[in-house]
Amino acid sequence: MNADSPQQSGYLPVATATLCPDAVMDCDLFVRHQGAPSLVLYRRAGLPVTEAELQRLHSEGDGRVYIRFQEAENYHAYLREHVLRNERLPLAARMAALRDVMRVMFQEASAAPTGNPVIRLSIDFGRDLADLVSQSPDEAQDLLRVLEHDYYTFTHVCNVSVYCLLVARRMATLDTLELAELATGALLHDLGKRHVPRHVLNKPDKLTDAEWELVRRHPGDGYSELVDRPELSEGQLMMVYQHHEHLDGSGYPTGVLNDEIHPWAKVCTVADVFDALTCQRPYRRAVPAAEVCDYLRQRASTWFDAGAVSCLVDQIHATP
Amino acid sequence: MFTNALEPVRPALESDQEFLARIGPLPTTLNDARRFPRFYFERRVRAAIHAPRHCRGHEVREAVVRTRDLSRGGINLLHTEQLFPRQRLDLALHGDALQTVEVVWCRRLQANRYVAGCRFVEASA
Repeated sequence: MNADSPQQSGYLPVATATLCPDAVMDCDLFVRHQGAPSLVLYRRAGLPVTEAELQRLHSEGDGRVYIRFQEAENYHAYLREHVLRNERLPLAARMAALRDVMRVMFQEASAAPTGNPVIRLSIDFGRDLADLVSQSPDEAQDLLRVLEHDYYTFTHVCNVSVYCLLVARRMATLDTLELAELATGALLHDLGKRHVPRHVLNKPDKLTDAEWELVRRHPGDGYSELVDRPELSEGQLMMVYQHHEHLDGSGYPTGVLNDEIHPWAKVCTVADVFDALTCQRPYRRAVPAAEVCDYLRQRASTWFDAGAVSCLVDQIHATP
Repeated sequence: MFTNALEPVRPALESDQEFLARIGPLPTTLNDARRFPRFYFERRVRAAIHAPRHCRGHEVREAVVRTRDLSRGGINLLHTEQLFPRQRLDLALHGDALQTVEVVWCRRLQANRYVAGCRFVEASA
């Protein structure tokens, strides 16, 4: 509990706004008292926090309590049961709470020797994201406000997933189950990058031909790793395999044309490019969203699906 | 026969006729990561093509594919349809005996023409 920096020492900050009075959480809660260097135990697992205590936490604390990283899964279960469908909370706040706990769980899962934990989490998280978007369609745009723009893998796949959902909602009539599949596919689209050395992915200089070859393998590697998973659909697998294809055949890994690219992969491509360019990377600064919209529009129908570009650009412009 | 060994060159996909007319070993390059040397190997062979794995089906279609080159580890072939990684083909390379290969990569060359790199696998693997 000696934690000057809770995040560094294994504690996940949780907004007190996401705590529900009298709901039981299966993890210990910690607080930081004003001026104190370390966290102190506030409530043992299994004991509820009353309405009055919550009020006090809101008014006297820093708006956060903390839970241990290793208990993130229990907090996720609590979110599902009490928070994600709680319409008294703004959609953006629910999304932020879900994203924060998922970030921790993905970090842990990514360290596993196989992709299995990441796949399982992606299916869970995809379902939660689609559920959030479906239950509050009018507020869905608010999700864009809580997206972060660092270059961590989780941030990228999370953002791409949200963009895909927003585009798909405008473009096609997908039911909640299909939206969940789409969101999961987006979360998994870069799984093959697990096989690309980190120094290549984060290289600040121009990649050599050999390094480019490594990077270009990631859609095929991801597809090969996932193709035998019966719980994944063809659309999801094509998002993984074809998200760098261009309509005119100039993409990779295969160089297929428009009709050969799965519609979900076309959506994923646009979302992927938009997020990749608007986020800061080790090798370049973030490009303003308006410039990226121009970039996408200029290449609509040659590289990118015009419908997907139009929907995403509309969403971005409509966000205050 | 060998290209400039100091220059990391990505082998270009040449026209079929030019490529398929050649015999002997293929040139190597500095960035060539292959385990075994490759040899030009132009044949038309019968193939039983299994459905791509994402189709979850067990359909097998008969076709004739054209091989381009061969090594101890795998074979490079041309086909009229796209093939997907880990998709399997049974090739009649020598008489009626079938050799199973698994697609590693596939690239589109032009309309109805794809080139695929495959590795040899045990049929039961």
